Amino acid sequence: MKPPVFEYDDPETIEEAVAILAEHGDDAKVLAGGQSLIPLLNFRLAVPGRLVDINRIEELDFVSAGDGEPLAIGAATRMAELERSELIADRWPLIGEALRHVGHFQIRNRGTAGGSLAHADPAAELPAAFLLLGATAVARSRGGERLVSLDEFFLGYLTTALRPDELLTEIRVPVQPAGSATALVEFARRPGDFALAGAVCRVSSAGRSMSDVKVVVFGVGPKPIRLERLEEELVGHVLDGDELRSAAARALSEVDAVADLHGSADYRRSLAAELAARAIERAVDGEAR
Amino acid sequence: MTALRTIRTTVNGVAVDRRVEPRRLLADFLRDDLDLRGTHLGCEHGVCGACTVILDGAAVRSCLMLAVQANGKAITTVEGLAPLDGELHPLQRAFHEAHALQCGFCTPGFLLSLVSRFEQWGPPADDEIRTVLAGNICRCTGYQNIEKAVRAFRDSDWAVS
Amino acid sequence: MDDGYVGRPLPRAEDDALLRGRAEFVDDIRLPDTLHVAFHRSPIAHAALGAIDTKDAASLPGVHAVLTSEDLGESTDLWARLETPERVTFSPRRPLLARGVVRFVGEAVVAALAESRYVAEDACERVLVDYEPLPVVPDVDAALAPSAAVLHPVPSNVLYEHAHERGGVDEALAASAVVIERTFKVARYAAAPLEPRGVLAAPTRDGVQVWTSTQAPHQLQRALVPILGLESERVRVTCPWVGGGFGQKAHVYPEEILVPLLALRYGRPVKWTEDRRENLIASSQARGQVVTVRLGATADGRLTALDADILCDMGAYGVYPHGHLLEVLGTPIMISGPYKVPAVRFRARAVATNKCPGGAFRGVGLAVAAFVHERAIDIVANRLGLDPADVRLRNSVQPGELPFESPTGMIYDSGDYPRALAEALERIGHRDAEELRAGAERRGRLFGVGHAFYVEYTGIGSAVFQGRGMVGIVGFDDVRIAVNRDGTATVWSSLPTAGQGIPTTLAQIVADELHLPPDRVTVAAVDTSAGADGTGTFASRSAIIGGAAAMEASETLRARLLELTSSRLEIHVDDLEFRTGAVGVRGVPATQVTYAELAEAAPEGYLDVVERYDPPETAYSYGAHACMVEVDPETGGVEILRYAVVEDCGRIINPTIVEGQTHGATAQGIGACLLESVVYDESGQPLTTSFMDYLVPSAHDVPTFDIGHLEHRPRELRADYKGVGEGGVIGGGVALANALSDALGVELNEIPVSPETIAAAARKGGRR
Repeated sequence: MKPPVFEYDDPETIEEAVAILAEHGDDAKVLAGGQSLIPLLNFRLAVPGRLVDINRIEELDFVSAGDGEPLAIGAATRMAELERSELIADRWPLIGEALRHVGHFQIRNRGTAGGSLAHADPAAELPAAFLLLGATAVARSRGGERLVSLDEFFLGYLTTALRPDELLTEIRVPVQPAGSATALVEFARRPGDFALAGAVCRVSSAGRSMSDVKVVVFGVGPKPIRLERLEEELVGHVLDGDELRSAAARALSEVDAVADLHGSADYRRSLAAELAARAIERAVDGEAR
Repeated sequence: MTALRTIRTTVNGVAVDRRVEPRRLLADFLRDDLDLRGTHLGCEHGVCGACTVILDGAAVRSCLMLAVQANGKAITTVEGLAPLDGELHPLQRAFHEAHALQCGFCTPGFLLSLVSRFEQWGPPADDEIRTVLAGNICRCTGYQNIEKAVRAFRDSDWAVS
Repeated sequence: MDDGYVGRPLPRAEDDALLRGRAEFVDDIRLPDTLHVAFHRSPIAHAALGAIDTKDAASLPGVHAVLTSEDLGESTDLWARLETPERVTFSPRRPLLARGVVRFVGEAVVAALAESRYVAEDACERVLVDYEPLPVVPDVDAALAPSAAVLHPVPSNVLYEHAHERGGVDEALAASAVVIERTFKVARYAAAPLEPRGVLAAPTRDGVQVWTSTQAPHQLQRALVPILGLESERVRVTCPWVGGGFGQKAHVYPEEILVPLLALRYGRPVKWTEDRRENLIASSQARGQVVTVRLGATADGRLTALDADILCDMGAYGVYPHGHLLEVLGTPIMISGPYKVPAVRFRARAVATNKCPGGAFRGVGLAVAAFVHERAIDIVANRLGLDPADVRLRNSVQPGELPFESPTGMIYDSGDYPRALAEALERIGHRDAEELRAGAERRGRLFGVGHAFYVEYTGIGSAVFQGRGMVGIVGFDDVRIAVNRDGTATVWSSLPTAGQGIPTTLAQIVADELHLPPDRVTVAAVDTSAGADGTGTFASRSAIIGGAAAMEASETLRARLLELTSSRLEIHVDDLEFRTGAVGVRGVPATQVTYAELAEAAPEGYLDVVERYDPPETAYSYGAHACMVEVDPETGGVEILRYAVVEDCGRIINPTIVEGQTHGATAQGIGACLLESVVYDESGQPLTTSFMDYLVPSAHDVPTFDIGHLEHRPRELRADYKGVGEGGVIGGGVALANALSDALGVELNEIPVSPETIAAAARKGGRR
């Protein structure tokens, strides 16, 4: 289990990186934290002709947000750094919650936020969390910068809207609605494993009923999936456990779920429905506190 | 084979210059080029944690990094925890006293994960210890004595100071 | 000798090197000019081999040679000689590289030798093999179908079958108040030691030296001698540090023959280090049984008869030298467990399939036997509305009945079985169960209690191996002890440690026997040139056999030390006594001769003896597990609340090590119930080829164990020890399966159980 031969570039600027991708994009893979790509190389399941290692590009490593401003995360920022960010803990706590479920701390010490989005594993937590939060991906190529809403970013299993000549440089997360609360609930065979299914949600309430609800499930289909039907059903309602579960199950029944040796499509649907319900309950509880 | 690249790194406090093939895994570089064979390969896909080393303070899988990526970095391997034939690191001693190792193949990875974790995040609470341990696989001990060793180390004078 | 070192929780002598990362495992050994091997392994489960094109691979810079079976010849095949009189058996030959046909995904077809492992793998990618697919036999059902492809040149895929009956089973079942019939399934598992296998070989002046990660170096040496055509003393097998074995490393593998062969052929050191993918697809797997049982009982829960049909999925080949007889012999003979069942019948078959060969894994045969009898007894108890613990105790062999001949002819030797179960129940606080159940239900969770009660054979010797037809296994082990001129002792044996603590426990025994502090006793690495022949570390043999051999060797050595002192001081031996590291004159504290002086005076500069032990009978350890679980009925998640084990391994040499063995083995039992399983699809493709899919328990998945000990010594053995390494895995899986069945109100008769299965059962059981 040793990597195959490849050409290797480790540019120091975005400019250099996109120039290399412009020339070799079809045959190149971008190496960020490497926590998914290097296993694929070791198994020789990925055999790129060239690796473009972005770890030396300092301009990709940042977390920033002005007062009342959106959050900007450099694509090569390590997950552990995001986990330590008080800014994120205060204003986008869902990101911190999602991070704590990503592998183990050793993986987060190396793994990057951008790498997780670009790899687009359907069971990964960060893509679902960023999608829920309404984030936008910034893609750079020699032709310039392109903003892609995460609603349009994930195309399918390990597939994104990034073109071969594009580098994901930044993730922008909008300011969240005042008074909203978020939660993540997932279930994995072992803690730290990719989830069998999970759900993230954001809830705002008006009086006793929910005024705004957003729900994304992951690990169920080929990419993270927003449950708009469930959201519509819940708005304006007071939470009731049984009704919530029925609504979640109805929403999941429309999802084209995937199966693997750890769980069937039916199980994943019913699991995701339950987890979505628990996430909403937890968010509502959190909001109440 | 692609062109070799020169890397400069500090390993266990010693500056090292070597030429390596870009595809060479950091683990193989440590084991074969630097002869630091306490870094063990148990899965080569980042799950078992036996190859964990400390890179600029952070515990990382050396099977999931290329040696060229260690250029300019400082690495600690298990050989760097205690001086050669000198006294064991207090965590090593805690493992010994608690019988926290059987075959010992996973042990270097546990030690380095824990040393880095304690230094970066402080001592774990009782209910966090198993979570901290979950990133390393041990097939022999059932983890009970590893947990015991971590508690003993945490509660020792060394960890408090 | 209560003031001795045996019985003390001494920290291990071997830890220091391991903790410092300075213990040399086989892949850590560096020899100049070493060539590295990688294998092209079959991607197809069953195929005829057509043309193999290695030109492109061989032309790659850095590649030294690329070999196929044509470069080896049939004389290098591994073949386990089995002699099982009056029983059907066929032991397939195992070519080192597939010849003509491949029979499982992962079977080595081409070996590439190169300057580095990286380049050797590059070469393997350039090998072109024509595979002409043959019909695949993916499991035992398919293997037994009349139309099944037959994998070996015999009439059917049943390569071994035997049957047994004692008492009139049909009559007893007919007269029973209740008879249950169930089919139990136990998955295939991977032992998955954290260090994969590996072998290094180097030509010597007149032969070859081999370093290999093994539990049985002497078995490899005996296999190599005829294949290499060298005299025995020219083939030296050295066992470096071993990173876990659990049975998987108790066999001789094709790579362990091929690598020395290539070292001799090319006159250079050759190394192969197994990677995890190879370990999960091509190192022996284990268990994989389907057992159909009828169990009868009286209305008050007395067992009347047991009838079992046992099918073992042995995969494509047997293993060397055990053949395909491990599970298929081990499970049936222990199928009645610790119970008095008046009538027992079984039929057991080993069936060939297109899977990786089945071999040993901790608790061979026993884990499945316990799963079957412990699930079955719970089902009977449920059916009769009785407490399962009461049914167990009612049928248990009682202390006064030992030695007890089991219905399958095993002689259980020693112990107090009911006390083990009673103590395990006490330790988990079984009286709290109903309160905990109610509390769980209030939180929407399900609560369950489960027990396991088992007896196991440990420390088997030559008579048992011969009786089982495994004629290639010698069954004895030697211990050689030398007293050195510095007054220390060195101990050699044929029993490598793979983490079990043998260097410490053997030193404790020898320290007591030779009146030395343990830090003056060094247990050397196992090496076939060290003058201690034997069998190896597996089947919980080391303490029993190695311990006894160490006692015998010490006794002989003591006699020598006395004689030498006697002639030196001209004092009768009866007037001498042992002191720490010395022989002294009784009543004359000032007069003594140290071991150092005696060794110094010996012609060789040391005194050494070797003694052999071959146990005259088997020691039966036993134990009980009890656990409490909570289940999340929606997700299928399981939390283990309490877990207690009470075991009896005879006199305890080192309680810390004994408990460590129990922790680790029980964790593997938990893995077997909840997480682990080698999965193949219908075309024989393995799906669990990484640690992402073959799920080994992590720290989160294993509870804290509360362990109790009973110490009943074995009956006829030289030493007071019984085996301890396997009990945890035997009881662990089924205790948990019973607890989950209790929680769910649904029988879980197949392991592992996935969260999906548990969630579905929660719905079905109406407890959701």
